[in-house]
Amino acid sequence: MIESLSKRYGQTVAALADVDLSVERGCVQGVIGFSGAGKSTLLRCICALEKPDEGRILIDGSDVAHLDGAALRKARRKLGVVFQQLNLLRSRTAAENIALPLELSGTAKPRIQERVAELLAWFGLEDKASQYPAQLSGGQRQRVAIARALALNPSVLLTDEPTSALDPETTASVLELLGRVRKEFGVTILLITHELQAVRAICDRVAVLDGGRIVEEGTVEQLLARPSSTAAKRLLAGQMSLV
Amino acid sequence: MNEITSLLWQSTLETLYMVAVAALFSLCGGLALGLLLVVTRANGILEAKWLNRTLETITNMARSIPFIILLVAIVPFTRFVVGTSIGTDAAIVPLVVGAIPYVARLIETALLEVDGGVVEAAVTMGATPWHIIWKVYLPEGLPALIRAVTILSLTLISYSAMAGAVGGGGLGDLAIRYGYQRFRPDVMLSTVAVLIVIVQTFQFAGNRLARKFDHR
Repeated sequence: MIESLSKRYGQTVAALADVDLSVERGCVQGVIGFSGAGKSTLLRCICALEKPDEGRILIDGSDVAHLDGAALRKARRKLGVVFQQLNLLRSRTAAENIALPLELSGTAKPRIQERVAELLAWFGLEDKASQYPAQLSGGQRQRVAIARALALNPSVLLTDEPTSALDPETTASVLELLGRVRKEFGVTILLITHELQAVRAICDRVAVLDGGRIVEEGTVEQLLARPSSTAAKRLLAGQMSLV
Repeated sequence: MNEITSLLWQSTLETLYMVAVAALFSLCGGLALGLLLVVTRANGILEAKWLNRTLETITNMARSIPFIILLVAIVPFTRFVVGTSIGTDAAIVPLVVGAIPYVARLIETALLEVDGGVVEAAVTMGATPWHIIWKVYLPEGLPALIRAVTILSLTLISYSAMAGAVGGGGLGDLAIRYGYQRFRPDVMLSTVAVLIVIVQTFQFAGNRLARKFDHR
């Protein structure tokens, strides 16, 4: 899916160097790394907020790194993004936030209402439909953001640090929710995080990003049992000391 | 007393008329200019360096002309637009010209308060620049925009008083002709009192409205 992706800032700073990562359909892929490893740059390239210097990013066969205008806007519907800051619109209720991507894609009004009701019900948010984000709890806002990202039935759901701002209990429920989302929506999930706990809870495979390179990639079991890179060992050690 | 009341009433209506019409026109112009300043700036949704720089320069130049100078400097233009350079209609022209760059700055400031992350989120959903303006910038910035309109109307009230100095009508005109030139402190004081009431009312209404749309 991601082929030899490179991104430099200025002349010398390589934020991403030759990143290759292919994710199987329906798989939950983690990308883990310390801050400064290039996670944010990778995320911004995948959602085409930044253009990479080299490489391709294929989502359902279309290369979002080399599309522009209407073609890019169309390709973007294949990707749902849950940002770390969620980025819900303050001026819109939960239901209206979920409706936004549908409105942008030109979906007919009755169909929008239908889809929003469906998602609200699935995420257990029916009674919160007309509440504004400021009136919702952290976990509820997270659910609205995930529902919004899924509104157009994307093939890939990209989540950025979905649990870093939440308390342990909410973290567990959001991770459990993402697991259910994968099963019922059949969506491929790409989870970018610095937390091993999130990876351990729902990922099938994980890539370790360090210094803009993928230093290790494999199943979660492999990483936990036999980490080969120093970054992975440090991540595991950090996890131990926290427990 | 009766004379003062009728004078005040007449002048208040003139002032409100000038402010309302000038606010309407300058808001249209200022909103367009303010939006352009926001979307064409570096990393904006329609980044256009040269256009942005040109608009910046024009806005700054227009903003640096003192209003009282502008008032008399554009008299030929005013005559061309409304056919006269005296009276309330004539005062509206310089009010609009003077207020447009001012409104543009107010609008720009209000829209820059909109969270950049939310704009990016809309971009990743496949929003066109037009969508982003209508569905993100304007609704998300609405409380700040309402506050900007409040400030605009207060500024227009005080500008319109200056327009009175050159025969524009309204409360400023009344204060100068009766209060100052005819030594009528009672007219002067009651004019100021009316202005205070108008300003307080506008500010109160603006605050209430802004709070109504603020879902922070």
